[in-house]
Amino acid sequence: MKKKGWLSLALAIALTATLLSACSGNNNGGNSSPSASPSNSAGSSESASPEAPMKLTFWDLDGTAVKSSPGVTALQQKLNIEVDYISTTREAMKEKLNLMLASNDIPDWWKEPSFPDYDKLLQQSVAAEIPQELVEQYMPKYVAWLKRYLGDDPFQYVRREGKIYALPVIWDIGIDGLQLAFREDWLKKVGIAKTPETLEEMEEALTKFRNDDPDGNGQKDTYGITSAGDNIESMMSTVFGAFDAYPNIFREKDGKIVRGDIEPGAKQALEVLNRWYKNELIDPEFVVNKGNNVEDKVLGGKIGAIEFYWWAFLPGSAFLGGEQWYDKLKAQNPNFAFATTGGVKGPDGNWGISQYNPAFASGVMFGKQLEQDQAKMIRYMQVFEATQFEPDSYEAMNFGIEGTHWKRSDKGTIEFLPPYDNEDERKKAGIVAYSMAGSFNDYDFQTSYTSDESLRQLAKDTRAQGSRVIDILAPFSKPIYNENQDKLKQFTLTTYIDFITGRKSLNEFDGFVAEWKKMGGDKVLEEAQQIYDQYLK
Amino acid sequence: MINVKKSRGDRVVDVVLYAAMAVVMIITVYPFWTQVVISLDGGGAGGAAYASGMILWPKELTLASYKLAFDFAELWTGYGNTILRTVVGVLLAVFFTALTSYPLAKRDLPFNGVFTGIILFTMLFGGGLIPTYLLIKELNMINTLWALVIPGMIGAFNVLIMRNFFRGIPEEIEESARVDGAGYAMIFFRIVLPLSKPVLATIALWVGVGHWNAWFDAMIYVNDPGKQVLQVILRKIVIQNDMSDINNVINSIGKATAFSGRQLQATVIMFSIIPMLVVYPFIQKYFVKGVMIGAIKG
Amino acid sequence: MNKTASINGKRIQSERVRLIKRYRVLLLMMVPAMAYYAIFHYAPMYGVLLAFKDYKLTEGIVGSPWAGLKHFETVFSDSYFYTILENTLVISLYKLVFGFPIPIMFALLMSEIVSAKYKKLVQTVSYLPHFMSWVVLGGIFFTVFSLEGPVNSIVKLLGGDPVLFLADDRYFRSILVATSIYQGFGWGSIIYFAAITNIDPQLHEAAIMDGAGRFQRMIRISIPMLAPVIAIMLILSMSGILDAGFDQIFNMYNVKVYRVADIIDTYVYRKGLLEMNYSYATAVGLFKSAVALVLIVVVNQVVKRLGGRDHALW
Repeated sequence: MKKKGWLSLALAIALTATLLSACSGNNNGGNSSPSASPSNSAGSSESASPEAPMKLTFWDLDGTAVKSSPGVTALQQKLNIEVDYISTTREAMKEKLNLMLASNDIPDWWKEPSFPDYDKLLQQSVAAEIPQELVEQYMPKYVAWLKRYLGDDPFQYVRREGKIYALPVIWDIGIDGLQLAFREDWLKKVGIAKTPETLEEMEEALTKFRNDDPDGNGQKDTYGITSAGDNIESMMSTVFGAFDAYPNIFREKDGKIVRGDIEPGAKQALEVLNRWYKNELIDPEFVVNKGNNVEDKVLGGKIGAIEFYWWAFLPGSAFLGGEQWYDKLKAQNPNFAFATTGGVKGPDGNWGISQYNPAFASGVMFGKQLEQDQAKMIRYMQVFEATQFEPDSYEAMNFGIEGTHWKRSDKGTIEFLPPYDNEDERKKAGIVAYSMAGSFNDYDFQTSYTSDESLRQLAKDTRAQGSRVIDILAPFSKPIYNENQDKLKQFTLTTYIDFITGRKSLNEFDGFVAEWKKMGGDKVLEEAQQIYDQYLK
Repeated sequence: MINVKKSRGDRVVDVVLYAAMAVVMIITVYPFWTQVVISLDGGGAGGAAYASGMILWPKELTLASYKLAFDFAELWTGYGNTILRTVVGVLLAVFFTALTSYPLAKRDLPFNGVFTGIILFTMLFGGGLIPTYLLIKELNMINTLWALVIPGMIGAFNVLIMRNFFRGIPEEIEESARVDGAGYAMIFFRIVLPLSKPVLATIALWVGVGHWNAWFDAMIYVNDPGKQVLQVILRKIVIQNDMSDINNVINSIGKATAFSGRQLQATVIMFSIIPMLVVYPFIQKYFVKGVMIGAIKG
Repeated sequence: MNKTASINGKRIQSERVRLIKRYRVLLLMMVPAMAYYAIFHYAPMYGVLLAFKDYKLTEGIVGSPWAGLKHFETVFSDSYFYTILENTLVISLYKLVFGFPIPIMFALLMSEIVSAKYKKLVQTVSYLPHFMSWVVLGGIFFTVFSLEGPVNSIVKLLGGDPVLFLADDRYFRSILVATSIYQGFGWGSIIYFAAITNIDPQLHEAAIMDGAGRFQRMIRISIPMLAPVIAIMLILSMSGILDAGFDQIFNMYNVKVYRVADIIDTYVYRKGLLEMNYSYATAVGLFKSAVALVLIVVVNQVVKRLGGRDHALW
């Protein structure tokens, strides 16, 4: 009996021992960290025979990276490279990057750290300096694209003491993406012939949307307008734009930095909003709405006017493809239409909606080891340029080979040829949308494949309506702002909501401004002015 | 078991109880039900996904969303990897937790307080993500199954729960076995464990569900797509079909329906929960009354 | 005196040696666990130093320069910190007082159900909310508490005016507690249910023979027999006292209720959005752990006094 007991225990300990040894031994799979170690890169490029392909590593964030796809194959041949992937997800990428850096496993490249993180990484000396001439030489289309949106010196935001450490990235459709739309079918129903152009006209429309049963169901269940309650800059920005005061962003007026939260125009906008709220034109739940609640209400047919991306107001085939709000509402309602505008005019003729600074993050950074291996850095640049900007490679990566897998339809969009019009076949052939860089999206270029030719002019015209009001200081490092931003934002948001809902009287606006300044706003403005004077004057 | 005649009062209580439980069931099933409906609803404009108000029934039935998920090649490797991790994880955890808890159940075990203190301390204090990652890397466990099943293997909470359960086993049982010459190892495996099915099942359930739903550790430690676990893949499915991202939109050309993010998310939830619901009844049988009687009388 | 002391000392010593001999198999059983804790929990513990350093990625945690108590000063000198600390404690305690008994009561009621099939069904269904993420549940409760939703419909029926509950700081905490109970009561009852199955049926049989009714049996037998499990669950729940439910609050809160619902974790999250400050986050984490430790010790002592050594943690 006792012996049996010992046996079982011995087994248990043996199990433990094997487990622990399994941990320390190099197991099946072991550490397959594919980032190039210095020895690897030094070996494979120059000293090896010119025929040996260079090993490059890319991030696989969506599970779509396939080595055998026509696109990757073509690329490997064209540039004489061998491709490998690090798998993770977008959410975890930042965490994973930090961990890799902490364990001295510096990847060859990574993308889009925020500007504060960019500066932090530079302090840690993990990034390689990028010679500007190389970029201009090997990525001409990329640079041209940047210049379209950032002006003549597209590297200005990533330059530190004369040196560049990232390939800048921009979200080019962010600069004029948000617009205001009215339900045109409702306008017609309540007897308004033209799309509102002024604030008064908008107010009239919203009043009728609320009171005159525009959806014809006999119930007073519709509201003029709604918004989400968690961001001031997107909370009915049109009204603020009509008074030229945009909260939560930094703008410049006559060489001075201003912040919309405390400008007199904001008070006027709040007066209007307060009146609208009292008259029930604004959805009373706007304070608790989050993004998807807003979408629910719009698609549920309860809202007459809304601010959102202009491409959501057009059929999907006009720009990005897929099913946009327009398509969804049209499916419910054949009479439906959106009437879009970039904003409505206030008493002084001002109009606009708060947009996103296209330089929303720094860019693609290279690991320090590539400073010693310029050939590799160049090769990566060539990959990025090819796959994001050159039609041949882009098409091969995303659609396959023309004539074999796809052709241009008469609408100008991509049409897959049988049997590749079946998704399973495409998967087998390895044709999945995968972006090697995961970045550098030139939407004009990319949507030339997804949009109907007949609708492209419409898209262009609609887009042109947008105002380009952005936070001009977004890309700059602002430590004092970072420290105070949550506090100030909360304060503005709560107070504004109180003003709008009538809980606080607008006579207290001046008190709000004083308080805002006292709680750090003054210091923030001072810092902002300094930065403006230093960089943008 | 003595046959008890129920009084009328007792029967009324029974009816009320059953009715109350029915109400409880209805309200607790509701969130799950909404996801079922949304995943199946093919109604125009995203159907149930955008309904304001309570969701009760799909307007049009469609399995398109399920088909999309099914077709996702990595889904099946994801299931395989998750099942592997769950099974191995549960076996390791239950065994080693029990192994650790049993000695601590003896109050007069030398250094009992020290052991307990060491274990309890880890429930409150830890080194954090970076040192743990570095450790896993040092031990060459990156991208292996071990990185997923060993770090949380012996949870302090579980140890203490099990320990207290073991303490509830009458001493006479163990005494009589010792008198018969059994060693502690023998007692542990042959007597204590079989009598502890309810607590073992509870810990197995907690650990098992934990492994089934885990995603963050896999996201950090697993590099090969072929080794990735279910939850990470499910997240990728949802993100990959997010139509506000141009990378995905390009691939939607040729797709019959574009899915609302909500619908996919609901479908993905089904893929995650339904296997659990299927397996659970098999665990239920361990929560059986009267396990003790046999031991005392026998 | 000295002689007695040394004799007692020797007695204690030899007693201990005797016990070690007797329990040697058990001590051997502790070896794997101690190895495990040493390697996977204690070896990485130097990570807490992060809270006292200015972390430089490339120099590692050990090599980074010391920052002393700087990060803690940042935490405590933030005037907002006391609001969020209060919120965290209040919400946690609120959840504890109302939420702790419910799974117990549910398990007790469940054990009264005769039909095994029905019992299984109710149990399984009750677990479902636990598996719904707060992204989903948040959306559902948004509808439930919306102005046009079922709760307000009842309010209107009763003659009142509809209230936007989720934006009202008078009700928000209660909603947090109620919905949290809703999500967790089923899953949380498992452990109590397991404990109930361990109760010797003979006890119940004897009580029935003595003429005890169901309710009386529940109070006199079931609950006392559950006392050990209840005690330990209570003590262990102290370890999470400063967590208060980030996922839930993050998905359900809005600016109007920050004043009452913003907790430590939501605040740290927002702060971390612009700058990933590991040191700050670690300092906050250390603070939370320290508080949890104190509470566990205190509650453990209380339980010891009330229920005796048996029910305490150590």
